[in-house]
Amino acid sequence: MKKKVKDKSTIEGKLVLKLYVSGMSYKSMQAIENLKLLCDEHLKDSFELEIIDIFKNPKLASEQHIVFSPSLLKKSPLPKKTLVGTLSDTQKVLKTLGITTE
Amino acid sequence: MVNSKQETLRKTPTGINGLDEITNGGFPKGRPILICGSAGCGKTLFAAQFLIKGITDYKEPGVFMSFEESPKDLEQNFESLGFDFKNLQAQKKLRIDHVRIERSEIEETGEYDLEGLFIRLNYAIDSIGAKRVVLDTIESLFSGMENMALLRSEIRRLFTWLKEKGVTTIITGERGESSLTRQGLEEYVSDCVILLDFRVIEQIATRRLRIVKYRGSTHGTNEYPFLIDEHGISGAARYLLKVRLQIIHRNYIYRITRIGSGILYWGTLPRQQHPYNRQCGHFKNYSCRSFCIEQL
Repeated sequence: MKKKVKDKSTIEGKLVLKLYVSGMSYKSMQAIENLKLLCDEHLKDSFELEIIDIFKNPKLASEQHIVFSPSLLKKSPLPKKTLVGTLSDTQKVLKTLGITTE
Repeated sequence: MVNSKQETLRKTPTGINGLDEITNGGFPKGRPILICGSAGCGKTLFAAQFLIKGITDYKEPGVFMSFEESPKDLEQNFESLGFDFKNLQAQKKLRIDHVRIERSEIEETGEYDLEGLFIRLNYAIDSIGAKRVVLDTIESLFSGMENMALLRSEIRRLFTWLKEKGVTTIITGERGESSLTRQGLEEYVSDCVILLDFRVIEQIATRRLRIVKYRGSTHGTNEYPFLIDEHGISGAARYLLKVRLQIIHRNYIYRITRIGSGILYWGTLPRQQHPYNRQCGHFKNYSCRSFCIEQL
């Protein structure tokens, strides 16, 4: 199922994002808020986002090699990227996600 | 203050022969211990042996968190030394978690914490009821990261958390230029610091161990030679010797300077023990090819 999503998104060039947060921590909340604003402004509907709480899924944290929290994983399109932190550096986030080139 | 601590300080036997003697019973139970030294001095082996011995001799399950080598590499490296990582993992007595960080994929976009690491560690510890933990080498986290101050405070928090969790943790650290470890971890691990050393003097390589610090406990203060050999677990354990230096025989004091392919022993033995025969026996076990005895 995971693969299917990836394939589909690669074809469509859709951004597939996974945000790993740790519970309701301040930094996690900030990251969610920042990402929401950013998506509303720049992405409209052309993205897929899943928010995962590693407190509830500790096994997943290990499987996905999460060390830093919050961590935003760009699964697709390639190259894969991991954005750590509150995502408050908007320019850097946009650039890393490939939304802007500058 | 020292006295009251001594009374309450509980110890975890390392199972490493000789080390338990010079530490008067082992490492401080439930506390972080820093093992530092330059590359190739045996830090990882030491840590691994502490875990394996804990499982096999003291029924204490252990978590090995590797920041460098993959579980597969670890298994292979230690297989030759007789550590059966695979089997112990299958028995749920050992858990290896490989913290792999792809620097090229990481971008820092604001403040973060190490909650991911905490959660993984917590999960690993709880899933097997671990009493011993190894973090090898946590300083790898620093490479390529921008916000050092933040990482430092997070690592300090991690050590405090491990202490609260009550697990005896070995943290390995590579020797820095002006400090014991590159990131100055010794400032955060204040309970017990062990320094390993590997020196070549006159073409003779010797591994040595020194307890730099052991809060609340008396300990041997010398540099103690030890061996890592191909027989692995028992080998390294058997040859971490206390003091095997001077031999007193018929009122003469001898000093053994070279054994086998080269280990340098010196120090003193209590005169009354007359240890000559025992020493010889020991050397036999040690299957050395040659050694010199020098009369002092």
